[in-house]
Amino acid sequence: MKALIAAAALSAALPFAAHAQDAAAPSQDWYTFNGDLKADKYSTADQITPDNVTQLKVAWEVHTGDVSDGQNPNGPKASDWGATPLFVNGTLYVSTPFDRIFAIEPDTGKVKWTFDTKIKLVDPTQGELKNRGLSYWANPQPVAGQACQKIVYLGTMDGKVFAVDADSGQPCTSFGQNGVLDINQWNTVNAKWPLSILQSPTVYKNQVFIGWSGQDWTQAVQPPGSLFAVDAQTGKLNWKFDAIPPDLDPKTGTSNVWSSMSVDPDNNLLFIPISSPSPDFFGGDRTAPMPLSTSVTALNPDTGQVVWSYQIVHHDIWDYDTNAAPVLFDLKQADGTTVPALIQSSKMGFLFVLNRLTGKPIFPIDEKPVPKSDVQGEQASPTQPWPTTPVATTPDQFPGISTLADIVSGGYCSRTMAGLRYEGRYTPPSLNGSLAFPATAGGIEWGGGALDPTTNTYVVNSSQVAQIYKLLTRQDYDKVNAGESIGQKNANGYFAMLGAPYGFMLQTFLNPEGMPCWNGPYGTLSSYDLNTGKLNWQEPFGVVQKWGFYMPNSWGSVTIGAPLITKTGLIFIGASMDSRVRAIDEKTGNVLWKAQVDAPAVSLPATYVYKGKQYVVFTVGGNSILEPRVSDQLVAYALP
Amino acid sequence: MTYTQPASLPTRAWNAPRVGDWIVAVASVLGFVEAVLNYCFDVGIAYSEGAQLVVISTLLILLAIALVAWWPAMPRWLKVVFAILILLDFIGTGLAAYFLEAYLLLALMVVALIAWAFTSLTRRSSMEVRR
Repeated sequence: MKALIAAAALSAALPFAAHAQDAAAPSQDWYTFNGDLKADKYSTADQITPDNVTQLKVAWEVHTGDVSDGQNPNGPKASDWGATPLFVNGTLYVSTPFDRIFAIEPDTGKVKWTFDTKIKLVDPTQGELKNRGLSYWANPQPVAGQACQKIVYLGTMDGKVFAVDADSGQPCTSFGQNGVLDINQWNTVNAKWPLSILQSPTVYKNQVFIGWSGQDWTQAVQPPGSLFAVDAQTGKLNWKFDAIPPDLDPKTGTSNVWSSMSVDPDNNLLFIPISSPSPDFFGGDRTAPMPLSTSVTALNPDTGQVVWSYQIVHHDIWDYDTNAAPVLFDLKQADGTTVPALIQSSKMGFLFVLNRLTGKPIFPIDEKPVPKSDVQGEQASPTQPWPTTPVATTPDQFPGISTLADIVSGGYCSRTMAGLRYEGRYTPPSLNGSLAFPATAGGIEWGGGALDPTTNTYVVNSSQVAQIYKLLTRQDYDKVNAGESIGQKNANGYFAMLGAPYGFMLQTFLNPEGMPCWNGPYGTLSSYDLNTGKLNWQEPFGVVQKWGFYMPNSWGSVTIGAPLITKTGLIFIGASMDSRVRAIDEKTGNVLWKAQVDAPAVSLPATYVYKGKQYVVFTVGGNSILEPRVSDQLVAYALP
Repeated sequence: MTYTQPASLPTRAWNAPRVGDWIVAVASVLGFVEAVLNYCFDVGIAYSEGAQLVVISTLLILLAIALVAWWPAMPRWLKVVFAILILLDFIGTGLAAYFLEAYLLLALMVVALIAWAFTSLTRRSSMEVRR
């Protein structure tokens, strides 16, 4: 009995002890978007192994009801659900694309409580209703009997942060105004559009770090990318960080932090992935140095001061936003010493391995000459950083025109290719159209990779997408789809970039039948040994589905989402277009188990141990960039 | 030892269903049912064009087999045409089932195809013997 009481007391204390923001050690909880503060998406849970993974069954599933296919002209736009569930405080928390919170019993799927932000179901910046999850804070010195000693935060599409008591689901009224903090109160420079919060904020110590999303394709001059650090209990602004030098505010904007972040508690560093400046595809009016744009940057979380920054793309005119939290790890060198390191994935498929205390490259990164722009007024950077180790997840050269797609389309693909400018990576956008490979669709998307800290094996899914980048004179842009609104034109791939001399057309390189014009694979899963930088294996990942038909495995699938790794050497991942979730052998890349779900699971899965049983849970929401199929399914698997 | 068809065997007997016919019929019916179930309930392919296609193709197989079975006086050339069309339908549906990863349907089509081929060939050889 004593042991039982002690265990109960210990488990009650654990949420505070383990997640009082300083503990980034691997745990069997899943308390951030990326599992923990290091963003390694690793769990020490060891019940599910390569030997028994085939026995996994659905333990429970929940349908939140928060789903829209966008087909009803009077209803909400399509939903796009990439939220990672959190398992902490003995509860599974998940947010929905309708900006509601569900608190769920981890073993039964029974809903404990829900919280509805009751916001208008309109995303003011993006086309769809998007949400990528929640954040959690626990008071390291909890006050007995008081509410909101453990708080769940939800950022909403209209730029508000809601703070909710993790136990009761009631608003924490001391936070912001009656539990709501509106970050648009700080949107005061170039406020062309409202700020949206689509990604879960990051919580560390007693602060909440809030990034946001915008519309960097509609205007040249836009809100400068800013990161807000607020007090976890009150929402009071502690500091604000801007990536754009203030004197350039009249000419440009964004370089925001729209993705997740990571934290090194041992060295008190906050790592932020910073996106490209505006407008996305023409930089002739923003040629002054902007060293923090398209970078990975380390901040002092107490002050917001830059400790170091590494720019992964100079003068970005491809929309190569740094789009995922860097993964922190300790690189083991041959002489037995360790180096505090991070790995930053990218849309280009490049992997940047840096010393996380200094920002200096650990493996060689060359500055390679890249093609010049032929667009009047543009000054493309003469060189770009080019990591040689590890090898990129994507090939340096376009993989060639797909014979099948070309034949089916009567030569459309090869004819189109002949008219495009293509000189390898970093071919600048042009007036005649350029081929970008990999393009803004990736490469590696916002999920980033997962890391097994016991072996420093890094696993990452990556797409191989070719897109056509074409600048349009202002006259030509105005003529295209004349009469349509900017929003409608955006939806059709025509970006206004108002204030710049050019508009822009972005098209994925498909034939009229919708087939990719380039050779696959269209998506891969790669494993690297980060101690040496060597590629362990790379396999086509996922399956493309067209009209219900599954294409050959060797083609792979475009992916959005990310893997997780467990102690037993299992990789769990959804992410692919074929609406399946898989378990993969970390050593070989072989698929050991797969299950059908209701839509593409374009999210990061989570795994946790509750009452002695390990669960793997997938958010199955779909993403119309991949497939029109959407869902509201949250499904947990466990051994029988 | 060779088997010789009795010369006095009535023509009707040639049209009588054999085990192979029954296998084809049952596999085709089950194939159609499976295709409909896939179209309605298989999460991976439900309501897809591909699933729709195999519903139609299996339905066509059923109709064709029923026509051949219930119209004994069908001209021989038409029977041959139907035999070829049904054969192609089995192959096409099986191929579609393979790409839909509808493996039960694929198995049924393979069974039906084998039974159909066996029945057709043995029927042809018995006709030759009768000549």
